[in-house]
Amino acid sequence: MNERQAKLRSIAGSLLAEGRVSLFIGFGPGLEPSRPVPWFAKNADEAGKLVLDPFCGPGLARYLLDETAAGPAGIVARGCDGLGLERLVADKRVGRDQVYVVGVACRGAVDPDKARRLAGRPVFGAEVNGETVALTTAGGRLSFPRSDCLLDRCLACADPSPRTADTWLEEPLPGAQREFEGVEALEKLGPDDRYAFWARHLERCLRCHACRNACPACNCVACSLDNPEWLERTTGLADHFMFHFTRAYHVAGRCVACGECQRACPVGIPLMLLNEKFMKDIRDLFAVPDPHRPQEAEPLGHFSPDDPEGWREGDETL
Amino acid sequence: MPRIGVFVCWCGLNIAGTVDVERVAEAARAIPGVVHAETYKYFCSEPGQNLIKQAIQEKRLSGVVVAACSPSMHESTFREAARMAGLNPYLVQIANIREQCSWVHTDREEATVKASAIVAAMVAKVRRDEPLEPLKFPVHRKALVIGGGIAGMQAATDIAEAGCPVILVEQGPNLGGRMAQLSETFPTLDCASCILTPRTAEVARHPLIEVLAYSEVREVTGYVGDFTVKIARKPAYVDWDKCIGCMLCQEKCPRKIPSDFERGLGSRKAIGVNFPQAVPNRPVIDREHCTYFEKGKCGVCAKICPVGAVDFEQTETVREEKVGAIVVATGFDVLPREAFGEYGYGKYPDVIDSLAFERLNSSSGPTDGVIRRPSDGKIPREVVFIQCVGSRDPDKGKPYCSKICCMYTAKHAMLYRHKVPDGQAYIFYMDVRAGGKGYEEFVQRAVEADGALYLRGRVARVYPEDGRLLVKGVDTLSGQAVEIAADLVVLATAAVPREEARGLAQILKVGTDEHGFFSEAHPKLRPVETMTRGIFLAGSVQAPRDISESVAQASGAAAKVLALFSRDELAADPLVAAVDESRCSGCLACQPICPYHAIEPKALKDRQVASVNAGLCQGCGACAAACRSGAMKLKGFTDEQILAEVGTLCL
Amino acid sequence: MSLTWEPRIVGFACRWCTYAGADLAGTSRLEYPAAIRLIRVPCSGRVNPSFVLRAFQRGADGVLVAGCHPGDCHYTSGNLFTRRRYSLVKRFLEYLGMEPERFRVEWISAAEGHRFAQVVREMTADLRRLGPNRKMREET
Repeated sequence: MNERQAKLRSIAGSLLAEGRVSLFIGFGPGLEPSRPVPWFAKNADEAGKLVLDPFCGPGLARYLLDETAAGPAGIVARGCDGLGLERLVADKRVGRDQVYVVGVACRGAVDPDKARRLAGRPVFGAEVNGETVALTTAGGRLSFPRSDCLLDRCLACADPSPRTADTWLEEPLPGAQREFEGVEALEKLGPDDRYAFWARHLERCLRCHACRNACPACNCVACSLDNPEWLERTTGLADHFMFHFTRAYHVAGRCVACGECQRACPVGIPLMLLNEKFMKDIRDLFAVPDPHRPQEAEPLGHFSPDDPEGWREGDETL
Repeated sequence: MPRIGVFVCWCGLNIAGTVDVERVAEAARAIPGVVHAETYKYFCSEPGQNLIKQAIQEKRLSGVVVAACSPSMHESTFREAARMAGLNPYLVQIANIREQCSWVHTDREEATVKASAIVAAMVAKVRRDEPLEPLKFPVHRKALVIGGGIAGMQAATDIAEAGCPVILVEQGPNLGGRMAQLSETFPTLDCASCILTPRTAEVARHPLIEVLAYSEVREVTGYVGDFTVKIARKPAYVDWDKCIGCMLCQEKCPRKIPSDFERGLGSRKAIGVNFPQAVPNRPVIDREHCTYFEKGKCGVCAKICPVGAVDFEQTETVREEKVGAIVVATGFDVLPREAFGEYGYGKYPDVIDSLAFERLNSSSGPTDGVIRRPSDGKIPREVVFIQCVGSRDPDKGKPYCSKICCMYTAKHAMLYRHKVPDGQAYIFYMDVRAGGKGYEEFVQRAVEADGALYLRGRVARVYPEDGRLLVKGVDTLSGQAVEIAADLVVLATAAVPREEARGLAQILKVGTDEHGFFSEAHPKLRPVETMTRGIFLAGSVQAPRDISESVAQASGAAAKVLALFSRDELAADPLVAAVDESRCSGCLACQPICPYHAIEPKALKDRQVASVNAGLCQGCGACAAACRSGAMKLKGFTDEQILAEVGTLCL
Repeated sequence: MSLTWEPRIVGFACRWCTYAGADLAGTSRLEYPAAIRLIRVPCSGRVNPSFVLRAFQRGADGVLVAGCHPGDCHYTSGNLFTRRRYSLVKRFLEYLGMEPERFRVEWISAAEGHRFAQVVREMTADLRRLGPNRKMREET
């Protein structure tokens, strides 16, 4: 029925059986069919339970940080996972030789909450067909526009497949260029409206650190934002600005645009609008066409003698 | 609990005239941790310093803030006073309430409030200061000079004359460098070898200079005062210790090949020396052109050698040396012939470059100093010199002026006229740049006494016609097209860095400019230093230079080396970066940002972290700003200190 | 607290150029508003962007980051990293709603005492017009 899933189970099963990986990271059955969970198969049996369907949402790359210590790990990688892995490798946090990448061509993951809302009842299955998504419910199949059903992070996606893989589950799809429409819309507002926008969102921050914990670029051994000199435990709006300003700057030029921070945020702060602002400016000021894909030289790790003074030209582009 | 003392200086009326110093002291007393605050007319004076010392001792102060003039004036004064009183000098901070407060504000209230805020910020900072000791490095009083041309020899001689041993590494088989190829020198027309040979001999016999010819620097580690260098001796296939320099081998070698030293105008043997006065006077076998190495037969040299010095089995040997300072004097090259199709260089034998013309002029050159054109040995009646060939030509990627060409071309025109009195020299030029003592007069002599004809303009084409070369160009001053039938065309090709220079720059971790010339630490104030402490520059490795400039710079570099060597230990400011390994992820985002290449990975048991070579670090703090986790700390300017200052100043 | 409100500017000044330029303004007795308070850093490249936000958080009405002109850095490249970092950070702060006048990056050499005084005058005038900053600032 699901050929991709069967093929993945078989690849993962043999990798584990042959001892080429000690663990395979993918998705497994969750409490509901629409909510598969990250799955860590340690043997062929467990690999037999791997799930691969349009509900496979969360990013997986970040798990490599903890799971490669015991030996090489396999992973089923969409574009976002692939870039996340590249980030971890660039930061020397994971050795590329410690990961076996099974590349897939992802057409976007269905947001279980959106699906439930649209269908008005529990959803058991989904199929992405071009611009529509077919949802299977007890009352039959319902069809909705793709743009209403997918996770936010998938709607903006430009990377259906990883840039490299050790084996491909299917023919990889080419990457595209990211657009920054959300950022551009916000840039058109005046300073006070922009501030009101951010204050309204950041006020809700719980400082639960879900964004940080989900982020493949937030992979430091210790975080400066845990240092009370930098950020006290207070949770006023000014502290939230400090937290999110610093986090966005720390991932500037490093963010892989996987959107996991925003997906993980329990209060729905549009965090990608912060990260994308840096991406857009890095693209425009330093001529980096795809700033979310790890570069040979990090945008903030080098300079060019004729870099522009972004604060001078700032006003007309802002 | 900290015990901070605050000393508010009146500076006569300079501060007290605008700032209510008593109120500043009063406000300081209210800051938690401040146990002492006083004012005085001049804290920098002897009695003023004594007040500070006394308070340090009596009140057992753990930190001192002196509110006075700019730290650039008296920071060291007050730190020294603290040290004498038994307080670590790095526990002293200066609140600048003169240059940045009393002298620029007039409102007494405002100035007093601001002065108090500055004092409070420095109290916050000094509370987070830790005692530091100056970093001490041993000094190996031995220098490495790379390059055995005139600059390298000058530096080596100057250092050795001061009593410090020098290792002089030359990649070629003999000393002398470019100057050994020259005939006469401007602006005096001294014969180059007449002034070079005695200098070379002096270097060779100097008891404190060890010449390592035919050798290359392969690796440099360490830092100022304590470099470890690996020097490879290339195989000459002759045991130079056994060899007595009789050169019978050269005489009998059956293999003749074109000589690079003669710019292809003459030949040499597969074994031998470049020129008769070569020092060391020891032969080298050119493996690529030696019949024995090609065919396994011949060995005439080995048979003829009276001392059995020829050793076909010789291999490269590498030795390690400890040195305290390095002078780089690797000189320059000229643009290769491939670059100049329009002038027929490389295509027509009678189009030569200026170095070849030097060889034609040299009495030890391929024509014994008679100027003959390469094609048929005829004495040229008309010679065209073209300046700025490649130089000042952005299309050729060399927008810079090679600086030496105007002068040597004038010299060439003169030498030519002296040897061929009825000959005519034409010089195509863009501008004549003759800045230098006696230089302009020299050029004028070429024009007035020796009849050189200067034509301002570029040459468009050179092509052969009736056994001569037709040079077509424009005289931009008259606006007329010019056509000259010449017997010989001499190109003043651009001076460029030597091909090996880039590799050497990487080995030394010294920056180069876009063309490959080594970068000085500061173009005006530190012209002989590099950004790496302990590595200095001499001569054309930095930019095109003539002999007198190269020698001057070499002496400058030697003086810098000797200043280093005048101390037993080098003390360095301890305000350098250090890694808190427990917080470091080992991402090494700091590494490409460090201008001094001071950051290297270091392996811990379970992961790698960054580590800072304190000998290389200059304390700029760029790494600390790049470190996300706050693992990289710049001592004296830690995140905690700056945050505390920010917080206090905003109150 | 005086009756008339005066802005507060925190300036990060590289010790080789801008801090020395400010000293020169002093030795030249150039008068400028007392709003500015400098923090001496070795290089503008040392200035962590979060320091800037901290200043706003703690009550600064304006922040200045100033160093040597590009090409003149005592450490060769520090200010070129500053230029990259603050090209982004300046735009980002404005994106968060900060008025452009509240944050400035300037190259001020050790010889430019006049320029230092001029920048402080300009900034103070701008901030007086804008009034106290409340954005991203802690409640007091």
